[in-house]
This record gives sequence, C-alpha cells and structure tokens, in this order.
Amino acid sequence: MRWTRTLRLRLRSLLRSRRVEDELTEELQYHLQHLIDDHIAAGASPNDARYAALRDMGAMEQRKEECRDARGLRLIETIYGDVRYSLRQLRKYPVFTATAVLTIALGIGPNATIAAIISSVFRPLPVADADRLAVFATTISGNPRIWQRVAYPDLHDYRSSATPFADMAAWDLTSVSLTTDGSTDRLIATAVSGNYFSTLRLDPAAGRLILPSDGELGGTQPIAVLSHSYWSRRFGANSSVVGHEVRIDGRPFTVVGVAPEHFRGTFTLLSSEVYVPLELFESQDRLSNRDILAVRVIARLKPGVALDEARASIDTVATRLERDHAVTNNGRRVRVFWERQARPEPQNASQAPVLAALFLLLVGAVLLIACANVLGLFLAKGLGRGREMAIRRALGASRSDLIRLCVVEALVIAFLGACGGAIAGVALARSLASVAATPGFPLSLDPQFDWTTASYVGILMVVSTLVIGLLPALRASRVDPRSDLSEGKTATEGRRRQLIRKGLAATQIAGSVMLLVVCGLFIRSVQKLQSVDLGFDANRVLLASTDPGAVGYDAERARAFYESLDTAIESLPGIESAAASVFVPFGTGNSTPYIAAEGQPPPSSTTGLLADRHLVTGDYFKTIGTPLLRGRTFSNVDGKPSPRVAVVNEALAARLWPGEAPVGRRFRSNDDPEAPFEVIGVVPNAPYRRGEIGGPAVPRFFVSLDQFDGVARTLHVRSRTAAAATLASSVTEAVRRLDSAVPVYDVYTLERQINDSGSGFGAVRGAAAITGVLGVLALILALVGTYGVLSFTVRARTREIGIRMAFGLTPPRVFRMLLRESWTIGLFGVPMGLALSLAAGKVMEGFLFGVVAYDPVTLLTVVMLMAGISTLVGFLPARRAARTNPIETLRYE
Amino acid sequence: MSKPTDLVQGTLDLLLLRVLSLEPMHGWAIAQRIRQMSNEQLRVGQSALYPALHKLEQQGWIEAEWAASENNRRAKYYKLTAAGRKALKAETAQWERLSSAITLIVKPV
Repeated sequence: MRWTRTLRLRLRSLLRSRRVEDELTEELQYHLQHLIDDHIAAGASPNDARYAALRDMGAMEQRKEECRDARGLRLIETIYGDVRYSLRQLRKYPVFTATAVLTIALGIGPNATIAAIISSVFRPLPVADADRLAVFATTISGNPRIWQRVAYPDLHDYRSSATPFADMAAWDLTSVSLTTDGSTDRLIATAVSGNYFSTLRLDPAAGRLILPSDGELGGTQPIAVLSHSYWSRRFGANSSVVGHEVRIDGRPFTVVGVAPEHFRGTFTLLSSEVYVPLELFESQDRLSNRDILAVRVIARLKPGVALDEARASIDTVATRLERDHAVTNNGRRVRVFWERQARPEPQNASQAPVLAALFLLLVGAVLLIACANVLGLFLAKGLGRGREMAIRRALGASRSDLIRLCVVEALVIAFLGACGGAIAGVALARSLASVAATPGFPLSLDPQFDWTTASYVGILMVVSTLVIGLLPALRASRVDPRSDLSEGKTATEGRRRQLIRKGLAATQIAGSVMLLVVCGLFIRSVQKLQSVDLGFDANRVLLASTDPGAVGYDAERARAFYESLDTAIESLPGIESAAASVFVPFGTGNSTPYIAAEGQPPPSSTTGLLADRHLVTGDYFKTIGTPLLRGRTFSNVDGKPSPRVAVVNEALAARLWPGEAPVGRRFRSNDDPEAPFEVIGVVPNAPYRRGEIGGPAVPRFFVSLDQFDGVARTLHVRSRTAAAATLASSVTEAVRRLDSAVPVYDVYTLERQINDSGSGFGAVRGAAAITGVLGVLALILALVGTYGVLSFTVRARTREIGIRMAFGLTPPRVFRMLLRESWTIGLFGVPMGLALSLAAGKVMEGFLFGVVAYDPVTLLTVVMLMAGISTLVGFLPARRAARTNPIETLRYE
Repeated sequence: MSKPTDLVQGTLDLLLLRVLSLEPMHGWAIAQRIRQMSNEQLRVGQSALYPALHKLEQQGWIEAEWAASENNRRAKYYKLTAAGRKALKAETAQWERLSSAITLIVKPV
C-alpha cells in the first residue's frame, strides 16, 4: 500500500516534473509573501520588507534542491543528466559510437534469434491452464527407446483408473488431401478422440468442435473441424462453411466447425489444419489391439496434483496391466511428461533442453566476444580520458559520480545495441522459420519478439553493460587529479593494464576457438554422414507423391491408374526406370510390426522381432540401386489373390534364420498373423533412417504394393542424366494427363530428401550452417579485437620503442618482439578455447555422427587456423612499430 | 531563529505531525503554530520546514492538497494520513521515553 503510494508520488515527480516544480515554486513564494506581509505589519516599507523577507528566506534554489532531495528524485535526475551527457559525448565521437553499437548489435542479434526460436518452440499451448497438460510415452524394459504412442486399450484403462488426471485424450497426426470446390490441398490433419477438445478446454470459433458425445474415438460420423488459419485462408473466414461438404482422402466429410484462432494442434513443429474423428482414420483392429502402440496421448492433470503423484498412479495401473496382460504388457511402462517439456516429442524431453542450452551458450560466447571488443574500445578511449576524469575529480565530482557516468555511458551503448540486435535478430528468426521448409515436412514455427525473448535480451543488455562499463568505471574512480593532471601521459602503461587488455584478447580468441570447433564438429558429422555407403544410389532419383484416393479412387481404380502411369512415365524421354513405394528412405512415415519365423510362437511386442516394413513395387530395388543378393523381386505373378511374398534384408534373415538360407522360408507379422509372408529375395542392409547410420543394421522387409491396398504412393523415377530435378515437370505432367484432378505433391529428388529433410541430414547440416555463421562472426570480432589491442599497444608504446631503438634495438627485433606479443595472446587463448570446446563437445556428443568431441582433425585445423591468423593480425602493427623513427618520436616530447 | 540542529534528531517530524494532527494547514501556518505552541521558544525556519514536509509526504505520512487560504491565495495544505496518525503515536511514545530518560540523568539530585 505504502510503496504503491510512494511509487505514484515519485512517478508524478518524474513524469510531471514541470508541474511539481511549479508547485514547489508557488509554495515557497506563498511563504515569502507571508514573510513580506509580516515585515510590513511590523512597519517596514514594502521594498525593505521584501528585501528582509528574501534575506530570511535564504537561497531559494538551495531550498528547492533540498525539497527535490527529499522527494528522492536526485538519483533519477542525475542519471537523466548523465544519459543526456553520454548521448552528447557519443554524438561527438560518431565512429566510436557506431562501432560500439554495431558490435553489441552483432553480439545481441544471434542471441535474440536463438531466444525467439526457442521461445516459439516452448510457447505454452493457447488453451486454458496449459500448465496442467501432460503427454504420455511408452517404454519397454530392456529397450532404451521411448515411443511417443500408447496402446489404445492401455489408455482406456489408465483413463478409468488413474484418478490424478482430469481427462486423457487420444490423437495422432496424419497428412490428408482435402478437396473442396474442385481443388485439392495437402494438409496436416489431427485425428482426435471425442474428448480431445474438451480435455484441452477449447471453444469453437464457429460452429462446434468434435465432442465427447460424437463417440469415444470421435465417432463414425464423417465430420471435420477446420483450423482457424485454413478457414481464413481457404474460406475467407466465412461462417457459412459450417455444414459445407468437403472430401478428405476421397471420402465426403461435413465441416461442423472451426477451431479457435491461434490453436495449431498439439504437435509443436507442425500446424494442423483439419481435425477429424480418430475412428475414421485408424483401423479398429489397431485401436483394439493391446500390442499396437497406436495413439498419442494428451492428458490434463487435476488442479493441484503434482506430476510425481500422477506418475505414481500411472505406474500402479501399468503394474496391474503387466499382470493382467502379460503377453503384451510385460515390461511395458508409460512415462508422463509435462507437455511443454516434451516437445516436439516425448523422446526429446531430455535432449531439447540440452540443445537449447548449447545454442544459447554458443551465441552467448559471440556476445561475450563482442562485449570484449567494445570493452577494448572503451579502455583505449579511457586512456585518453584520464585527463577529463581528473578534471572532473578536481572540480568536485565524487568517485561515485564518475563510476555512474561510465556505467551510464556503457548502458546507452548496450541499450542501442540491444535494440538494434533484437530487431534484426527476431527478423532473422522469422525469415529462417519461413525459409527452413524441409522437404516433406511443412515446418511451422512462429518466432516473435515475445516477453520471453524481450526479457532474455534485457538480461543480456544488463550483462553487456556491466562487462563493458564496470572496468572503465573502476579505472575512472581511481583517477588521482594531482598525478593525472600534472603531466601528459606518454609513458608506457604498467604491466597490469597491458595484461588486462591482452587477457581480453585471449578470451576472445578462446571464445572463437570454441565456436569454430563446434562448427567443425558439425561439418565433420555432415561429412561422415554423406560419406556413409547408404546401400542405395540416391543420385538421379526423383520423388513425386500422388494420392488418387483424394479424388475418390478405390483400390481397384487406383491400381489401374498406377499401371497406366507406370507405362506413361517409362515412355518419357530420359528415364531409366520407375517404381513406387509408400514410404521414402529418410522420410517421416514408417511401419514397424513385430514378426516371428513360422514355427515360432505368434509374434507380439514381447515375443516378436521389431522390423521395418516397406511397401514397394517390383522395380523399386533397380530404381534406387540396391542389388538383389539372392532370389527375385516382385513380379506380376504376385497379385492380390496369390500367397504373400517378401524381400528381406540380410539383418532380418540373420535374426530369424541364423546360418540358414532364407529364400523360401516364411514369417508372420503381428498385425495380420493369419497371412504369412514367403521370402522370395534378399537385399543387403541399407540404412533408411539417420539413427541406423553407424549403428547395428535394422531388420527390414519389403512387401509388394500390389498385395496391399495402398492408394497414396510415392513414385521413384531414376533419370538417365545427372539432373533428376529436370524431370519434375514431365513426371507431374504425366500424372496430370491421366487425371488432372489427382494431386501431385512433394516433388523433389531423393538426394534432397536425404540431405535436407529433418529425418535425413537436414538437422545436422542446419546446425553446421548456423554454427558456421556464428563461428565466422566470432572469428571476425576476435580478429578486430586482437588487431585493435595490438595496434593500440604499438601506439601507446611508441615512445618506449623509440627510446629502445635509440639505444640500438634493430627494426627486425622490434618486429619480432611485437609479433611475439600476438603469438602470446594466441598461446593463452587457444588452449583456453580448446578446453571450452571439449566441454561443449561433451554436451553435444549426442548430436554428432561418427565424430568424437576431441576429433583431432577439427582441433588441429582450428589450431592451425588460429596460428595463421594471429601471425596475420600481429603483422601490420609489428611492421608499423618496426618503422618507428626514434628521432621523431623523441622530438615529439 | 532556531536551526534544525538545535532540535534533537527527528523531533521536527514529530512536531510537524503533532501540529498537523490538529487540522490541515499550509507551511507558513505550521511554522506560526509551532512558534505559538512553544511559547515562542521554537522557531522552525523554512530551510528545514519544506524539505521535512516533502519527505513526510514521500513517506506517505502526510498528504497535500491545494486550497484557497485565509488571504484568498492558493496554498498547499498538508494533512495527516492514517499512516501518519499511527506514526505520530509511535513517535510520541518514543519521545516520551527519550525525554524522561534524559530528565532522569539531567535532573539535579
């Protein structure tokens, strides 16, 4: 109560200072008037009375000053004065100011970029009480992997037994083709259970959402809820869309409503555009099978319940399920994470903070290097200001006045730099988010200059102020008017001051060494990834996805469509071969059933072998360049009615039939154990996921697309010439000629899929690019800093060098002496940097591929680079010093 | 004219609060009232008066309001707040303790 009042009064004094000033004057005038009246009453003439009153009153201005003091305004006013003085000073040295502000902006900018991106990834969901939301993930004892999905029957049991939860909803992502008014969009869709929106506590922007009354799994009524952004984009935010009929993957759906604005689904990196009932997009078999981890879960904890309590109750149910369903649930546990900490997937709950911290550390290092540069500038300028400070002291400024002045000057620089850096940095984050479209994954991030980013930048601004302001301030406060005014300072500074400056340069070198090593490690990871033998030949292969189901084709028509398409594409000029598959190597889609050899117990998650399944056409292996080791591939005889056949990789064969010939053997998968597969061919192991590189080969088998009803396919087309991308238009055209309504999407080369996509090498390449930019920035800043320190040293030591030369020191020895100083800086900086980079490398080990944190190639390259650079940077100032004319420097006295 | 240093440290605040507890008044009137009430013994000069008033206002013990004065000019009237009333009680008690203690020592045996 009292402090609000005080604050109000102070604010009033500050903001309405003119008014307060006037009132003060008026109050004192009133008093004066009374005094005059008194004197007149006592018999004085008006003039004498006035004179006597003024004498009684004393110094009016001093009284006012005392009143201002009493109002606690002096500090604020003096700081205001300091700010004005600093601005005037900085205007007087425009080059100094511009350099300092720009340097700080360069340092703050990357921090703002990273902070904005991190904040956009971890922004709370736009729902009520978002901090009560949790996600589930499944673990199986003995397996380090974390699955982001849960078996639906398990979820059903958790929902009815775990009391700390208010509700639990099931959902999953799928990509769909939505057709309306004759045109088709490829969209990210969320298939949801009936209680999805009620668990999130969302209200519709128009119409209604999918409700628990539609059915536990969203019901079988074909209804759809549009996202606000798609509704605005496609339907002009017209509420007559409610009741409108659209086709989703060829099936008619009725739009019942629109999700609230800003809600983009529950998967951070993607923007979900349409919500449909889970029951219509996931087969009943999968949802009722306790052995299939079918759905993602978002749950809401009751108010006041601790996460540990929720975890304990889930564990209790899991133990019961283990006992009741030993075949499927043995060793299975469900882990509960806060939703915000488990982004984008629960697997990342432990990784994402590390990665965020690593990047903040790296950009923090850039800022420190930038600050060290500005500090160097200030110190150099401070030397010339010794006299100014001494005069101020002599004129009565206190030590604290001088310290305050220096800190305020630093604050002004840091503030201007932080503003510039924040604006540029957030703009950079926004443009990065919009260009970082990775193939097959419509990444959606919305970095903004939000509170989190602003406060982070604010903290950095204060830190920068302290770094660049404190040392000059302390130095200014030690000024002694007598010695500093008595003579022009031309002597070489003491060892300590030189040491500070060189220590600064060494720190900068250390910081840039760390950044360069981190960047080098990422570059080496990319090199390692790209030099790995993938077991197939990604060159010259173009991918193009189509989905005739989107426009109403059934399996039969789709098959006929693909047969004509195959003929059409193979007759195109420049094509070597063409095939199709459902999944793409290094793509996001996958299917991993449990399998068991015939004669073994039926496969389940506890008894089977987890294997990767791909659906392909006969020419697939030829097209992507994987040789067939034994047996044959699929042909026309492997139609729908004939026995199911499969091509397996060597790893699968070795696990199921160790030491035996696999061709002709049979195995079953857990999602359809009644129809076994006969092995007709064997292919070599080839990594299809990033995680497989450098690890053990994953058991994988291929089945014929003709024996399954997949209508959405990805065409693989191998070109005769090197430029597969040039086929894009002719392949698209071939599809259009057959049926112009069938959507064609994700047309790009397999090479791009592998190199640029998030599930390929895109993340590592992105990290290499970002750290590369930071490394070069840091290096440039450190170079400028070191060069500045050295040339300043030379200038400040001109007299000393002149004297030494007069006593017979030869120019070459002067040159060597100064070059040695540059090397000394490097000699201290580089080992410090190497120690830092080993620490950073340890942290980022999980993000590297085939490279250790102390990778000798990287370390050696950086050390050599630094040695070369410190020679180069030392060269110019050393040469200038060597050319010193002793007579001239001494005559200058 | 008595200088503020002639008063025991902090007593000026007590005097101001006490005088203002009678009725709201402006700076000049406060000075006059202190003189009258102390039988012309204490004179508070404006050099001490106004800074002290501004400080008390900042502390929230008194608040100010502009109003027409007896001679029909605009004057700044100070009045006690609830917090000021409490402070007056505390300060008075404090002063009584202090003055009786001093009396005990100074009084001839």
